[in-house]
Amino acid sequence: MEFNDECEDTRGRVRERNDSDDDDDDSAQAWFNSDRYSDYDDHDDVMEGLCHEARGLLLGARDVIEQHIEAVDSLKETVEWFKMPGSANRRKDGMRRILEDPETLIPEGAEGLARHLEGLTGHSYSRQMQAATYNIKGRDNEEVRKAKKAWKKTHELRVASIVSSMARLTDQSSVPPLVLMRSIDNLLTCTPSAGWSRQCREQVCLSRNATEDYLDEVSWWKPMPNYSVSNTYGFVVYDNMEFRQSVEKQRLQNGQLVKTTLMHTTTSTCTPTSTLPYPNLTLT
Amino acid sequence: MRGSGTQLPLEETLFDGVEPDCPVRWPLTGKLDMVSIVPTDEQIQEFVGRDWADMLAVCTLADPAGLMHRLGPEWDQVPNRERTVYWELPIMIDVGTTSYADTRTRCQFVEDQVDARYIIKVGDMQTFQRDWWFNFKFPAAFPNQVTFAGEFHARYHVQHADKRLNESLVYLPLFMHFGIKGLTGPKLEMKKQAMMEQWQLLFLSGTVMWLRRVFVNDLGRLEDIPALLGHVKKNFPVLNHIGWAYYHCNFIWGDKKATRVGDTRRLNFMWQYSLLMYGLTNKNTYKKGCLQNWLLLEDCEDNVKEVVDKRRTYTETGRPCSGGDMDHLRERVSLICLGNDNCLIF
Repeated sequence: MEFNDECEDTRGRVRERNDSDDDDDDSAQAWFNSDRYSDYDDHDDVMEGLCHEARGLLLGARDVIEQHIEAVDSLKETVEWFKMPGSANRRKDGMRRILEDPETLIPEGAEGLARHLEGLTGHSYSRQMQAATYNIKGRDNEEVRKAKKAWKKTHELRVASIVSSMARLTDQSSVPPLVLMRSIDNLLTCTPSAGWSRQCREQVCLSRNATEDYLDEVSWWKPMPNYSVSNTYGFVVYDNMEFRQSVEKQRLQNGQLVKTTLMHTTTSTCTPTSTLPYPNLTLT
Repeated sequence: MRGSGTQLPLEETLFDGVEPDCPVRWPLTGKLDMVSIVPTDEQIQEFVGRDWADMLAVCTLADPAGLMHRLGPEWDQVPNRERTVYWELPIMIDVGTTSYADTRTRCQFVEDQVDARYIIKVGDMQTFQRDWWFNFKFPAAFPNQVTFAGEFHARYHVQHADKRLNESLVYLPLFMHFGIKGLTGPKLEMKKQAMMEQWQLLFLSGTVMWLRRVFVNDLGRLEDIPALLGHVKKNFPVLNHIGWAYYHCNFIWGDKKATRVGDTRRLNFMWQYSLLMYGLTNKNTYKKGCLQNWLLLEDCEDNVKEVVDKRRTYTETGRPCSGGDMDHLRERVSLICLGNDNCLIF
């Protein structure tokens, strides 16, 4: 990797170098030259590498936020205006921490990366692919061993690059809109888990959990108008609300007639009772 | 994901600081003469005649499909139109609009979620009627809430009333001639609104083209349709068809135009004229709704009147003439439909 006067940050944006970058570059160069992918069984090495990755992501995020400092200021005003509790402002809180003290976020970021790594390397799909590729009956075992060795040599680097891109994918401010749209579409159209995991393997959509987290977070966000909002008059639009009525369906279970309560809806997949924003309304 | 309601933030400047004086019940002032809802002949000639003149200006020989296109920026009556900002309210489960218990729950939900002293709601006719009668029967429950009826549902029922009134003499022959299926019968199918509207405007365009060719040397006759109707009164099919085009289909197009351009005066007239359409077709719920909504529209205090005028339509894009009915904000019926010939209806 060549470091020139201009370097790319983690989002691929070209920014001006400054003196503080040198230290980061030196450590990055040293870490890059080290045999960091040699042994994934050594947890400390992995965590060190992931910490470095997390630091790169956070510094990139800090650059972007610094460029949009005015937007963040207005965001703070928004938060103040709504007087939301801190739990509802995880993303905004994270942005503020990136600005003020990014180092404190590194352990959390590294933990997330480790989780992704575990998900990828320990995923049954990888195991199945290995088995399907190398364990075919009648093959020359010596050739298979060579192929396995060559595959393992590049596999770890490939996994690291996937982790890096996956980490960016789960960052909702950098996820490509098309990926986000596809993920939400999957959620709203009740995509089966098999179809969902296939798309995740192809990296064309977020995971279901990440999508639900995203919707959970953005549901608290409101677009602000360019005028001061009246608290004298409020204006609300309603339609008939038969979409989210629960209905009882009869079915047989071990010869017994039982009734199951289902949501009578075609417009939303499911509404977990634990995350219902309006209290005192629960599914039976 | 749609929540259980949509809040539109209002400008602080809309409230002039003067507390409303409502002796009856907020926002009513008790000064309205309810007979004023019945439109006079002069009002009908003024509004329907103006719609017809606008329609002739749009649907020309050079552009027979003019009614299908979005109107130009010069038609827009909303100054500095911007994209409407709205916020989704949280989701409610197991709450409908068919009972007063549910109405109470909804009102309490709005009370909890919307940070305002006075709350103005807009809904479809069912929601509107439930809220209206709830406020009537339990005036002390939520004295700071009022509900207006949305124009989208009203427009659609006018469209259905037009089809009922003219089915045998206008629509059935045309449907059979063009082989159009799925639109006959007394049933009102919400999802076919755009399809029906497309055909209606197509028939209207064809009628205007036919009239332009008949009166090619005397186009001035088209500007005064009541006089023309008197001229052809002994030719019953022609009388019926021109009467349908002028008094019904032209009115439907005028409703749509008023929504797109944000003509609130014309939208108020829509409720007056719709009362006649509903009355002839036994749409009793909407007939009552006309009276109830007219009372609110005309008798409300000035602040509310200004708010309702300001928030009569919404726009997703902020482009000129892109207004949509406020109750359509929560509908799942498309405003824009691609017809069989890929013709874009505005």
